[in-house]
Amino acid sequence: MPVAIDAMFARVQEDSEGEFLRDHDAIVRTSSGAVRIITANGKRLARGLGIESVKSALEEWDALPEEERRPGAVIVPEKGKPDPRLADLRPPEGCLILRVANRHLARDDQDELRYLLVDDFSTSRSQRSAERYAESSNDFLWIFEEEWKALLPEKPRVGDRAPVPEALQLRLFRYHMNPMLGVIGGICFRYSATDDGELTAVVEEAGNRVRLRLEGSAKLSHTKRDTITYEPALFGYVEYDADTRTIDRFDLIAFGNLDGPMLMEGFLESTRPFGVAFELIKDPNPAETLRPHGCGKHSSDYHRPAPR
Amino acid sequence: MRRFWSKFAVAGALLSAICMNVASAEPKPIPPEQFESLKKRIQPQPGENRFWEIPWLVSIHEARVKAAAEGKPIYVWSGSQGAPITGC
Repeated sequence: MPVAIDAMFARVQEDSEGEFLRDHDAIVRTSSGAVRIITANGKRLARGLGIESVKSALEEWDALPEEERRPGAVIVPEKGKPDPRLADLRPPEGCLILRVANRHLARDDQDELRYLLVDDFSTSRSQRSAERYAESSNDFLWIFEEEWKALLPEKPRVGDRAPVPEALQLRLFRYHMNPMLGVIGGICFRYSATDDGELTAVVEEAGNRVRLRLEGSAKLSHTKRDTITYEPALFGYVEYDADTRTIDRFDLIAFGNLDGPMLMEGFLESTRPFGVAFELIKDPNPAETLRPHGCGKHSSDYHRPAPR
Repeated sequence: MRRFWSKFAVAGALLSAICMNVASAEPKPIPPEQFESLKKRIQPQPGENRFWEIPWLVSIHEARVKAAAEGKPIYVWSGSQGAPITGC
């Protein structure tokens, strides 16, 4: 039974779930993640990410007495009242959830875009790490109900232009233009200010369906010394169905050059293209309601980014 | 001497102009006709991020209830920067 746990919260979670996880040593506080394999009543079977650990755990499971592993043998107590702080880590009613993919890219000899290769990394990096860095990284973007409603003009006319709500722009710049995601972790441009970028919505279609084109750009830097900079253009589309009063498309990409010291250990180039793609999830499954990476330590600013 | 400083001033002005141009250059806009292909290129490719093919639960209580009912062990993947299936 696979379960993904936010150990940052679980280690302080004041309810029966937090207590169970801590009492049975079922969570690990490492940024790279760790695995525990346990029974429904908390007995630990094995540890480790590798397939060998899983095999060992299954052998241990098979060796358990029948009365510990047959279906219905373990009675799980009622869950009880959840820690109220959990509310900030779950998407609120009316919130749009967008899947976010980040990707570091490279250019070939003809200046065409290409995916990263193991050879782009120095030999100090293991092949497995290099392959992982070459993949896209995952996150979610939350767009709160008042924000997506504010995107829609009251009486839309083709050609109308309006800035995207400031809170959404700041959330995008601070927490989702993040080349550290999936590499070393952390939030790269958390101190971005309102005038570090702009994003505008332009009405392309008005009527029962409203289509907005999003366009803009940003110039983001990691510190005041500009040690890491990212200068993306942004482009996308939002579509609204007036009959169902829902947004049924929210597609956005950010793409531009990332410059600065290597975020990926062993990566050979200091300037490379970096892209972020956002796509609306229409019917999120439980795992797709997990909190965005930036909505952890900084959940208050993620929900309501303070203008600077 | 004055000629030297005059040349120096011209060179300085040119350098400033170049620097200002670089600093004020806007990122190259994304042409609408390239939007879909660029988006697809950034998004996960076949074979990438395969852990998303697994139907993860996000509550240990729910996992315990299901594991007990089905007679299965629980695979708990945790991380200090959030559940590892995000941010990974």
